[in-house]
Amino acid sequence: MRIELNGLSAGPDAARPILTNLNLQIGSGEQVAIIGPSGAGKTTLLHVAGLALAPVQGTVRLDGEDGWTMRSGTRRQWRARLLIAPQAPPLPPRQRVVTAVLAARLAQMGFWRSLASLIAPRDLEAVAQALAQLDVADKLFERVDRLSGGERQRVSLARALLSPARLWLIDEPLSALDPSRARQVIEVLTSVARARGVTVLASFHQVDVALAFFPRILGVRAGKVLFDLAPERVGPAELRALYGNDIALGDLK
Amino acid sequence: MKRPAPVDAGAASERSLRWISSGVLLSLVAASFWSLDLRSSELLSLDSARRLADFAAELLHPDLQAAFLGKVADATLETLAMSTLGTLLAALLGLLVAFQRRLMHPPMAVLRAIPELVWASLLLVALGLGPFAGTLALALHTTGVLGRLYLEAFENLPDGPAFALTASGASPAQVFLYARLPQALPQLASYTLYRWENNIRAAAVLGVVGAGGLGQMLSFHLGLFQLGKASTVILVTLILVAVVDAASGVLRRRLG
Amino acid sequence: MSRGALPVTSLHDPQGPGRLLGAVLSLAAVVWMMHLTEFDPAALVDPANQRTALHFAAGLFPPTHDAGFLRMMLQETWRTVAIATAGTVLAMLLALPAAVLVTRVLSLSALGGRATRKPWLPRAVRQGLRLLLVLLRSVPELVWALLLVRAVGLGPAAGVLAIAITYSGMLGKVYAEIFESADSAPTVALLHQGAGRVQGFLYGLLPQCSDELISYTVYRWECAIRSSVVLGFVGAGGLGQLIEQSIRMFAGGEVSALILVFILLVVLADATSALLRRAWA
Repeated sequence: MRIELNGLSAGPDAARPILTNLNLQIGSGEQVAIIGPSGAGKTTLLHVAGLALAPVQGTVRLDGEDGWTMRSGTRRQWRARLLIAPQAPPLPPRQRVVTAVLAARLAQMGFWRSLASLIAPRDLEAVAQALAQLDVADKLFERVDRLSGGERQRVSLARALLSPARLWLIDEPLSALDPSRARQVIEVLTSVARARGVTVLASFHQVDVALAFFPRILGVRAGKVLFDLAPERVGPAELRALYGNDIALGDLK
Repeated sequence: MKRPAPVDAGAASERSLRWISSGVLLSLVAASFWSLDLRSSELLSLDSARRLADFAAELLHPDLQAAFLGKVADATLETLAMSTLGTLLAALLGLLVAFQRRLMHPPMAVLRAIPELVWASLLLVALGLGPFAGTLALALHTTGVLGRLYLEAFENLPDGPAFALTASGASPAQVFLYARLPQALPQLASYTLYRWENNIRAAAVLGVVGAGGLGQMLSFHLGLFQLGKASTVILVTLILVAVVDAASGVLRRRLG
Repeated sequence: MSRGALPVTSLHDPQGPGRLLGAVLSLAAVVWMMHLTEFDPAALVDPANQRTALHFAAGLFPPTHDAGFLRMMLQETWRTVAIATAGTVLAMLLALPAAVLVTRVLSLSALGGRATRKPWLPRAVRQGLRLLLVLLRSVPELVWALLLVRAVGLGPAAGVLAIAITYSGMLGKVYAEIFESADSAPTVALLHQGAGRVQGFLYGLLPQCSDELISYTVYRWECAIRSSVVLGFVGAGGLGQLIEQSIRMFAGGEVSALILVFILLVVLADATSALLRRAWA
């Protein structure tokens, strides 16, 4: 799915938008990592690109269609074609893993099917497959609140693998994972996306992972795109400009 | 010197508020006893004491014949079914209310303002005597109570799970089923169990106006001055209430 | 992290059979309960029933408001309040001594210095009294009222006594809890100095707890007003009795007027009780 953001200002508080006059084009099947300090507007950018947050100004076009001039029913159909994975995995504590992951396909299920699926989960095989790719297949029938933080995050990412979405908007997918696990998970996500031709826009705190796995790096600071470069051209100078003096450049190796 | 003044004024106004409210309370009490025709001299007479003693003595001899106990068992089951079904129905309606959200607070207030017994006697007009009217009466009053509690429970939920599903195109009903309901479920269940404990008590007396169950037996036998039978019904009511309380307590502990 | 390394058995929902069984059993229980309660949604749409209901509903508006009926409503509303008030006061008078006897802090025998000849007796009395309080509050007030109407005849006395009995059980329990949670040091000091149980209570415990006692009693008074309306249904007088009569006579306008007055009364009692409790907060 193709994304075009033009002259975009947006934020949860319309009076003081976080993003200001932002322009961005992402082609179909591209994989883009967003890096930048906390509060730079990474999450807002993901939400506004996913039609989850209306912009204060400017337009959001998905495959050329303006997301906020269409009727709300049509917008829901567009939302069904994308997936937003928020940062802290928002899973109801007592839900079972299988149900939580299946929720990724709700837009494709009718009401009665989704009701029946609460009692006898459908598509078990596909759910198990998605979990297996992230190494948590054994948690299929476990309750979400009995998982560790890392397992919960992987379950939440398994939603992306199960969903038929053409666009993944993933916020800090690795925050609860240890470094080696983080690399494995991002490896799986990027290769599946490549195989399916899914567009990926993901935000990261781990600059090294972003640089290692993504062909295009977006540096966002104070609501503006500071740089939009290939990873090999993102050096210490760019990072210092992005993070100020806060960053421990030792992370970069 | 200026600072302590407001404190003193506050204490003084609190003191005067207490004096005024004590005065109001005392005059209310005096007026109550004065205006009610309590026939206290008659009540406190030796004759009435003897009558009360006879009455109590008869109550202390519950009727434990097997045939009668069988009938009481039927009424007990009926009462249990009324309270359980009424609570379930109210829980279902309460969920619909909580899903609808907007504008549902005022009608809930009306539903719960009217006591079960008044609902029951109103419904008896349309539905005739029997436990069906009693069950619906319990359901209506309980919907008012649970509807409000459910609404509040849903209003205080974290938004994360619902946001994630809405953002991926799930319908409001699906978001309710897959995010909001599982989040709120333990609290809803605990409210509902509390209400069930309350409703078993209510169901046991609704029969007094003809809505079936133990209450109907009680008022029937009391009407015929069969005190032994009435006493059995009261005993069984106490046991039933205790059993339901215990069951509900166990269930609530398993939730918590 | 290879694709498709799935043990086949992992696809069996371990809770599946339990859930299915639970669903089937619950459904069966609901059907059985519907049978027991003669549950019949068809009765709701039955034309004859609907005619009755519509006829009754049409009569609800306008609420009756002629002077005679208004005066009667006012009189019965006051009677409802008076029954609740008198009942609560009697309940308080019964509950206070019971709570004092039940409270362990006030027990003379609990003091080390004074040996009694029958050490089990005070405990037995306390337990017996606790049991009595449980019994008083476990029987619903409506059942007490039914019994009392037979024992002392129709009229407000039955209502007052029913409330007094049930509420003394509730108040006694809560009073005792309030006493138990109070600071026992002043009382124990008094008892050690040779004060009696009543003196220990009046000078040691009561001053600490009086606000809480009053506040809770006022809250219960508010509940008693609602109870008192319901008690009218079995002949204890007041608004409830009027409501019951009007429903029986199919007088829709009277019913709606009475229910409005009832709601108003509950709201007023609620506000009054909140105001009074704030004075003793």
